[in-house]
Amino acid sequence: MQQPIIAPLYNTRQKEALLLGWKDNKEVNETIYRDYLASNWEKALYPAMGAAAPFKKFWNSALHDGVVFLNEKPEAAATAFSADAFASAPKMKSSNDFAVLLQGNNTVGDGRFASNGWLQELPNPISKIVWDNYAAISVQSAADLGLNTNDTVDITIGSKKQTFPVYINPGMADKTIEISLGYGRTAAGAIGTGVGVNANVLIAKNPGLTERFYNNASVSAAGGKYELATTQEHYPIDSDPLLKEIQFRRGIIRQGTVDEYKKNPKFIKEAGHKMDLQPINTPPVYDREGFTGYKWGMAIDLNKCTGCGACVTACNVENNIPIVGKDQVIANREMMWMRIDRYYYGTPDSPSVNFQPMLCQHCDYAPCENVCPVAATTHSEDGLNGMAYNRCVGTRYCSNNCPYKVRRFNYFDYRDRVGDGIQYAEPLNLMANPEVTVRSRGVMEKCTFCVQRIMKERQDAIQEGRGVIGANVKTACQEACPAYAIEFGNINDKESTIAKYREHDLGYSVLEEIKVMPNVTYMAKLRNIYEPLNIGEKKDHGKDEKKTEEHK
Amino acid sequence: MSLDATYTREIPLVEGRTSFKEIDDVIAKPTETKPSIKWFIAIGISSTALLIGAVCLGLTFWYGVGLWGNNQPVGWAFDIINFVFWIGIGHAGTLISAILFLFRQKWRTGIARFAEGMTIFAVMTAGIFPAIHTGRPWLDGYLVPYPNQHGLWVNFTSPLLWDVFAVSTYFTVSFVFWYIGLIPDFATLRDRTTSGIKKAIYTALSLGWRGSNRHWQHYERVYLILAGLSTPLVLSVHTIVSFDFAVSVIPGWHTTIFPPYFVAGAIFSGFGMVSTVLIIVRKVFDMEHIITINTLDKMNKILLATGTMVGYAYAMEFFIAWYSGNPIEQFTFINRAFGPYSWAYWIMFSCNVFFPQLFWFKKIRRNIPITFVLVLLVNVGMWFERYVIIVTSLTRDYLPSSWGMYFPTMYDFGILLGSFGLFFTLVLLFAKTMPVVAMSEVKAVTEGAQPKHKHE
Repeated sequence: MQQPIIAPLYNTRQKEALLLGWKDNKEVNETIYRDYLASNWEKALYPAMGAAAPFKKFWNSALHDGVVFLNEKPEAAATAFSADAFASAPKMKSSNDFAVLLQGNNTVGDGRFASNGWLQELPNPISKIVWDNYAAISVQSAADLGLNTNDTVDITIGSKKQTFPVYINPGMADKTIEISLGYGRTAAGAIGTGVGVNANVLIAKNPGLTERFYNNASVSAAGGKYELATTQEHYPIDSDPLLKEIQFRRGIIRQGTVDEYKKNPKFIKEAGHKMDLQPINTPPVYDREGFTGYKWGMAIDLNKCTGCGACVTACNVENNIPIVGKDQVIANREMMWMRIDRYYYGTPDSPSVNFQPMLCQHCDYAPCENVCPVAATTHSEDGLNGMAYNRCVGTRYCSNNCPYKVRRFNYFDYRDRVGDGIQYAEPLNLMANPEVTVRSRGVMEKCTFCVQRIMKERQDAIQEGRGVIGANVKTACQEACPAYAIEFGNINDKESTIAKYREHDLGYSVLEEIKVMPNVTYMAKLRNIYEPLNIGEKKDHGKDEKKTEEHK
Repeated sequence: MSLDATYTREIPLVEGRTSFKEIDDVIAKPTETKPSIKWFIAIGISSTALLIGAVCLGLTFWYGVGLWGNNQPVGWAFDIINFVFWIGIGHAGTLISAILFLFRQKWRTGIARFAEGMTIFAVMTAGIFPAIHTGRPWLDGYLVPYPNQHGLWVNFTSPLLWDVFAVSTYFTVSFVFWYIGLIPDFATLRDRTTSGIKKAIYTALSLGWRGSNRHWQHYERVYLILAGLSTPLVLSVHTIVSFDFAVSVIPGWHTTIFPPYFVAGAIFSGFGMVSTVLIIVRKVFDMEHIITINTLDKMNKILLATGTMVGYAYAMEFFIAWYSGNPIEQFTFINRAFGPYSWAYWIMFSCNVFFPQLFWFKKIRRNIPITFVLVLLVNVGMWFERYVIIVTSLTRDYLPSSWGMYFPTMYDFGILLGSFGLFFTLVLLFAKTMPVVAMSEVKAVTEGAQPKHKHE
């Protein structure tokens, strides 16, 4: 069951109400369909439920939950796994053929959301590509065909043929190509028209298999070039020893195995001290006063994060973040306040991935603040790193000096620039959150920890004559996370969940060595595998061996 | 040219026994004659470049700095590179006129005026960039600490604000210094000219100079005081410009060697540009006996010294990166020399460190064509030094996820071209309207101008 989320914008009528009106020759208004539905539920469903509550209450709770459970049966016992389920899987037609998998896209679906710019610009969790679909191919197969990312490739299935840009995706199975559907639409408005390549044309009758999977595709280089836009540089897996697994050496990603954690719960914190980079225990240049009242902080559990990007979209919507278009993403100017960093490790054939949501860390000693010549970015008493847009001249010095590079600059008036100003036009202008300033050209912006929601809680607290309660504030990203990986609140309240997260053995902050004192705590990832990962400890192996020898 | 000078006798600073009138005639000639066709061609080229820059800038104002290649993570690129480059160029003039004056280096007289003029124009050119690089240039006034009803104040912890004060102080002092030096020469021009308009202008500019003993006494005193005031500025301005980087936390920027390294580089690039222009000017205006090959030889020695200092700084950066034991710092420097921008690094290294080493050879120091090529390379190398520092450090800093390449656009190149256009247009106008060599000072160092003692 669904509730309307918005009042009708224009003088329009509900389709169901129209049908009812015609059928019963009644006056059409906003309530007739709801009344019809409710009375049907009251007659047909309510008695069957045998609920103790009166119908009104039952109806309201059903509306709230969106679902009712009728005649629930106990879970069926698990059945044995039948290995011969694989037996009839068709083999590849010939050894030269490729398997092609056509999939609904994780953002635009089958194309129905193609006119939604926020979804077009939401990076693919793995490839980080926006505004396009592509033929994802394994490292080995690409080498065999002499292909590189951004080359084009002809894919022929039977009599159907289409040309796609290539993206080399580590971890893909060899001789397999995966393509997203939902692109190449010809009539999807100012945003969606002409984005990507239409993969539907490859679909044909496919006896014995689904229409989404073909085992007889022939693939050949088309010789062209096509630039894909990604929000993260292209080095998927580096063989260069200088770059290889740099995320571990720099302590950006910390992880271990469950066994390691069981043996020594503090192993992450201790491993931190074994890494190449040591925190320097020098006193800060200037004292940061206070933070005596409430102070805001965030914790992100990397064990729960799947990298889906729901938080990014929620942040975009909450904070009126404009889309910038493919050309500006290529120019490295995407505006999203939050990004999900993807780090690979392992081999190109079987890589593992770590995701890390990255946003303004609201550092206690924020390096962006002291370099702003006009004091447009300053610290608040409750630990927020704020931006005064009106004061910002746009020197971009703060962004240069941000070690996390989470600041975003309005190089153009993006709302006006993309899709003929669609973001300013009716009805999309109604989409803007009235609680958040819409930024102009030439202004720096970044995550505010949803300061508008914090202010709301402060107003409520003043009105109710109580103190501010950290747990009452939920940031947009936190609300949207399906895995509850994000926790937010008052870190000075030692009883709060966020304070417990911050003091957890697995907690660490990114780049803590440079002593900017970030206020986002990451929970190190634990992997349920048996081999110890030994990341960041390479240098100390020699020493440890020597020690054990000495003991002997 | 007397290469047979013995060590008991100083090489004359002005060749031949030129009379005071001859000096006046040679130096004042460009201001008194109609511009030649060459001059018109030159100013045609430079003002075209200026116009291209102005158009690119106008479009930037209209559409936004997004027309440039700057991005996330490279917030600064050509804008600040050009700023630091031109400020560096502006360092030779004050060094020549102030520090060399205090050290009684008389060979400076032939080139001081021109170098000072170039300082003024270079600082003017440089000053444009901080003003235009902002996202909202119409709000640049916010960088000035003025009392206002909003109760807003500037942030004195920001090196960018220090820049505002450092550069404006430097410009003011350099300008006053330059103007004071010009007063006796303006008086000479006033006395020589026959045109009524010129007479009026030069009369106003010479502030009633009559060349009396009293005037000279005051003049020498003021000149000395201003030289003393400007001397620390030669060192402070680029020190403060280097703080823009040194005060940050970014690997490759956060370096304590920057202040001396930047000052040496600034003097190096300044001398490079002064040599480049003087080699042309002395030829075009027939001043080869006033701006002598000995002067160029001495300038080349300074280029060699400062170039080697810059080379030392490059080496020391690498050493400290290794010695610090900080792998992120080490990565930054290895990435500079061997990463995606290694081409820029090696252009910088060869132009600034390798080629100037040729100045160890006297024959090369005194060879005008080779010197000209080498000083041009110094200009190129010093521009690339700023490119390397700013762009390569920003493209790959702490988090590999935020790394990104930088690609300049045609607007970046247009504005760079425009900055050269502005500079050379100002230089050409200067050469046509003011004495490019200090007449009064040159007269003091000609053979026979000094008091004679008993002849040995």
